[in-house]
Amino acid sequence: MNNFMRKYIIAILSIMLLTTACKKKVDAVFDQSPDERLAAVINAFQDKLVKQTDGWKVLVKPLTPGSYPFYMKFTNTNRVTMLSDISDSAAGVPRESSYRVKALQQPTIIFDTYNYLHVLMDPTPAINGADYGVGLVSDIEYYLPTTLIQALQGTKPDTITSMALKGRYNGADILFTKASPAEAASYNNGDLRKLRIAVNNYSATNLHRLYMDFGDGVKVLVTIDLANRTVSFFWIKNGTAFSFTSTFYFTLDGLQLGNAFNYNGTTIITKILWDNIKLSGTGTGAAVPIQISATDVYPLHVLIGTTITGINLPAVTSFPGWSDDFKARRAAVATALINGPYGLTLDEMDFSTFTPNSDTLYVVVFQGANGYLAQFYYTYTKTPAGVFKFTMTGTDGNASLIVGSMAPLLGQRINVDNFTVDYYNDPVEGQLVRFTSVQHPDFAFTGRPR
Amino acid sequence: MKLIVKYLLILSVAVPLSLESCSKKEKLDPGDPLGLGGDKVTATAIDKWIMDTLTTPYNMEVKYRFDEFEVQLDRTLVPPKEEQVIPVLRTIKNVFMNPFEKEAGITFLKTEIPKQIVLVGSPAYNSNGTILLGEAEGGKKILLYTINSINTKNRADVKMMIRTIEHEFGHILNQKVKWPPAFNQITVTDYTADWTNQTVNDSYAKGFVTPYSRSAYGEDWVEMVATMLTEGRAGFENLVAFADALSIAQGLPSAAAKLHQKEAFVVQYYKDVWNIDFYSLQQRVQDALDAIAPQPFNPLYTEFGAGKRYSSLNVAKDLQTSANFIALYNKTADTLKAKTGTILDSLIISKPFSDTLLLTVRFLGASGTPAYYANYRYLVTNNPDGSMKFGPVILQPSRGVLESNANAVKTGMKPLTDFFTLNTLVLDYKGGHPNSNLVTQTGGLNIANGEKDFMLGILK
Repeated sequence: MNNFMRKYIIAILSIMLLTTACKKKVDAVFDQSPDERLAAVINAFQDKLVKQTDGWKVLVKPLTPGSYPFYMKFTNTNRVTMLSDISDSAAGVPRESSYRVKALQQPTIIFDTYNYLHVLMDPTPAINGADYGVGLVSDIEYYLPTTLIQALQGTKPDTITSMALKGRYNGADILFTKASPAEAASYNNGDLRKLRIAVNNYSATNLHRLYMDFGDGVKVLVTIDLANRTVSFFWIKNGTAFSFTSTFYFTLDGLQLGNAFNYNGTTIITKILWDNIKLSGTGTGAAVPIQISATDVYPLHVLIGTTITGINLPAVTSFPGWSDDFKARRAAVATALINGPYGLTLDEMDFSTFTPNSDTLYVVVFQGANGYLAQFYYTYTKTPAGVFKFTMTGTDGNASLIVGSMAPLLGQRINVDNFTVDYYNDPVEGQLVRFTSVQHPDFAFTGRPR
Repeated sequence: MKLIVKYLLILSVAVPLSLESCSKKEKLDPGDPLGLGGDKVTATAIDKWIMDTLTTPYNMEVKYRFDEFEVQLDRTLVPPKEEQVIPVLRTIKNVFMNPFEKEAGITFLKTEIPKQIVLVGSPAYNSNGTILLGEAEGGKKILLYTINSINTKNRADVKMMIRTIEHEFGHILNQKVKWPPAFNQITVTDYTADWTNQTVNDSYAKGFVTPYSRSAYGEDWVEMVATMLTEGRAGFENLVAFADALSIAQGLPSAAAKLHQKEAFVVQYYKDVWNIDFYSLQQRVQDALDAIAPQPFNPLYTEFGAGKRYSSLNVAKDLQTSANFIALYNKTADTLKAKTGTILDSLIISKPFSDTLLLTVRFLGASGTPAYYANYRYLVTNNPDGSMKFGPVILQPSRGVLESNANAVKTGMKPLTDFFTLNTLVLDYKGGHPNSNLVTQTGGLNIANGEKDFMLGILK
């Protein structure tokens, strides 16, 4: 090996050494660390919430049916103020609570002290009428999905006008939409509360009398049930009864339906508007006014077995609309049961799952602390004028043991008489359904309709 | 060779240089991880209150903002309402912390107190239909549920919450110094893993305060502590009496003996280990509960009389707090001494019939013996508000009462006997309500619409 070669080799080696050493340098795909980028997203999202001074229209969709709107305003001091349509007061009285945006597995907004939003999640059944221990299967922590994160990291985060997040625990959906200055003014003015009250009063005043006519002469009965957040439609066409029920939530101008009502394939109702005087349905096609009938659109007996599927008689000795004879006979039954071989206490009675021609009477009895269900099976016929005739077709095992004790109510009256039906209005209980015997007009009872 | 050395020299300089220059471009310091140092939230008035009232003085953290990592992950839970936070914490401070601080000192409290309290708005619903009210972890943290539905003015609500805390705090103290092993032997055969299926009454009859007590010795111990503190001595004695009756009915050994044995162990442990007078602690907890809401009770005048809960009020001078009554008492004593040469000892007030009040005076001969009794009788008009108006004193023998002694010292007793006739009086408990920590209650005959705690005596 000559000198030159040796020099050459050494030179090459040294250059190689230098080059490889430099190749060790890490070329980051991102110019910031994951933590820095995470912090940037969190800040961008929080900025977005706070800088929208007109606030956000927020729609929560839990895993149980229905959607729940809120109006929220955020501060940079971890405070959020909200309105909600869950009650008159929640719609008018802003409530403040705490929130924070934090990195959990994903960037997440946590509503971390109680507010109207938490009513949906609350596991106590008395709070929201939901199942024990689970609430309406909603959420109080929502994470930012990848698409939103990318939008916030993008070049034009200012153009984002709505943000969809996902609940971490149950997977509920939440959608933030920017409120306009006009909407903000309206929310701040208590318009949501006013609308809620107005619609409730209007529908209660005109109960059973609101209808739509889609141009074919059929009256479609509209019933707004604020407690259950549903709108139901009922109509009879060519002798057949139809019904459709949808959830709804309040917007500033009316009721947004959860499921569109498609009456005839051309007119599809997605929203019911309130113009401070009257209601109308809108969606696809021309708006359809909701009219007021002078009398009930459909007589009560038509609704039984169609929209009214059950009548509950509570476990009390006296109830609005119960005739003296009914009360005396119920008391006689109670006495017979307690003095009978099983020492039973009469609890509630329930005419359940009315279908157009059959029904089951459930009677709950207690032996000490243990409740038992006795089932009496019925069919019934109904004249065009609405006179019911019930026929008992059988009983289950429990009912067979007490059918004798029940005779003052069943064997002597309900099983043999004909009945008419009408509404009975009580200031406390509201609207009840009353059955009155044709043969014994002094025998009448009411129940809470379902 | 020279060349190689030369190039090696160059290399030895160049290589480290090049490495250094490369390493300079790398970011070796990624900074602190995000969120290090805890959540940063803007402090509110509530946070400030917690800092000033609990964290700074007692080194105690309170978490009320929802944090899923502090609670059970498989339950649907909601955070507390903010307006509940301070009332609940203030109640914990007043009913749980203050009694320990007064009894054992602030150092004890700072050292032993749970370091973290986590508040949850709703209960934690169990799949078996029960709900969780509280949990403790590792002697450090106490989790309290149902904060949103606690009424801090309601004794039952507060008792339930404090009971949970006392239970867990009992465990914490046991982790430092275990309870005496002899305690385990008292009801050694009746501990069972199947405690959830044991009834309350059956547990009472076997000498336990709750079914849960039966799960383990340590649980029995802290259930005893929690029960004794939240029920007070009177409440505990009621429980013991009830339990004893059940044990007798079932033909078991006396539950009262077992429970009193356990009580003695608890009291001794607190004295020996922590230098705490447990009965005094009990009194302080009960006073704090009474300050929130006294135990519901019937007015004393409905409970006083023949065949009723209390048949007499034994007035003794050393119980008195009213200067006016002591003046009246001393004046009567002086008059008695001057007119008859006898010594006034004590008074017993009873109501043998609803329209009759009997003032029985115990007085002593000049030398201190013997003891005599004199009965003064009044006809009573009972007013609807429970107050009593008295007629003139009656000295004629009637209804089986002999009045000879009364006649003999009537001139000496005149200041007191006149007082009854001249005033409308009403019976009431000392302080207006029964002391829930005392088995024996103190009551008083007060001047209607006037001085309270006037003529105090032991109710029998």
